[in-house]
Amino acid sequence: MFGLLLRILGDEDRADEVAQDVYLQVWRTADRFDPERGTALTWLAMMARSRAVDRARSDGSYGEALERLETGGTPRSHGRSGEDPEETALRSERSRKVREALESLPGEQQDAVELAFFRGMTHREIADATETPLGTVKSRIRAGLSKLEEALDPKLRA
Amino acid sequence: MERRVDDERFRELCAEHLLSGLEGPDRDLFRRELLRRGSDGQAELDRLREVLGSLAASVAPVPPPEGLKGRVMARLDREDLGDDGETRTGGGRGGGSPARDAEIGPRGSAGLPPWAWAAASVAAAAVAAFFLVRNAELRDSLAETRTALERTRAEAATADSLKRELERMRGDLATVASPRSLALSLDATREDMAGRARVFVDPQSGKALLFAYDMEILPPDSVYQLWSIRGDTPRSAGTFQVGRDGRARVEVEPGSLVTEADAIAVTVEPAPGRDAPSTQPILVGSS
Repeated sequence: MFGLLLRILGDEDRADEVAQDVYLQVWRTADRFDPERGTALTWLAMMARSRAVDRARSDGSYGEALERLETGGTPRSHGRSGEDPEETALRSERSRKVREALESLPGEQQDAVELAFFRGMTHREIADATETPLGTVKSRIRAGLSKLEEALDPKLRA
Repeated sequence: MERRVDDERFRELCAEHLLSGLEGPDRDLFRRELLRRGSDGQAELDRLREVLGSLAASVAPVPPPEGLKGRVMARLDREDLGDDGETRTGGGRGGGSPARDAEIGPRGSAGLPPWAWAAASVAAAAVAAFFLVRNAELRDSLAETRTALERTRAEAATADSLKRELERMRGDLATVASPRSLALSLDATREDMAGRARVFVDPQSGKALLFAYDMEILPPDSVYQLWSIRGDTPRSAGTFQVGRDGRARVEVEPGSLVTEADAIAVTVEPAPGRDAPSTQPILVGSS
């Protein structure tokens, strides 16, 4: 989760603050989690993304985020004692699989999905920023997500 | 007039709803359509949410900073969270004697000092989050293991099937190539008819095989029937159908094709076969 927050916010301090918000929200709303509707990882990820996007919007830090996306900058990693190497390897493997699926999308679909998910840009904002018709942006995101679903399906379904 | 929403448009609305939220007419349209589609629509929305949730995993994992737990504890301490999730401030907590603290349950408004409640809350939240995530990871891992197991089983079944086929072919070869086996060709009884067959009989084991070629594919209510004829008496040696390629391999019932037969014939009979031929033979072979 922290990696996602860093990716969206690009700032360790703000990612730390939002992580605190997310943990508190997990504590407050854990009873609303419905395993029939999806996995806990997704529940947590979507909650973290939503919080981070809200924070980025309120801070007006989209410019920094865009620059980071364009330069492919990687946030600084923290050391943590007691990290389970097996767990780390599992997470890295999962990360690699999803990255491969994302990178297998046609460029314009990958861009649209990443701008919408990691930058929290609305479809209209993406259309304006990329000078693309709104309908095209919508269909690119839909098509991209459908392809991701196909590529990740065996890994998603539990 | 109500607008119709096709599947693609509905997926677009779902994606936009999950990514940035919908407003105005699109939001109304989405809600109406979700309601109209019922559980199917909800399942579609849930699937898309899973796809989006998986995108979070595309980011390289970064462990949280060392002091995060302490900062969450401090937040809980400041906000004085209750079990109902509402932020409460003000008195009631702390200041009690140790004995009194011990008597008051975790839901009480007075008792342990705030830092103790905060510590307990953080620990519980951390445990809840850990188990939620761990459970999801284990389910993912279990699903992958099941998929791998099913694949292995399918491969094993294919290997078993190939092994059985190979064993069958070896057996056939032993019968066909055995110097003691008798071979008999069956030819079409009319020049304008296709089809031919060869019968191999091992008199020692009694095993008999028929291989038919270029046969017409019969309708489901008809079968080819093999006859062993001695004198004027035909005796059924079984029925068979041919594959799409017009071929058949038939293991004839042991003993039904006696080596002393004067002739072997094939007729077309109504399924599942007759006790005596009801049609003229289409293939025949004489010893």
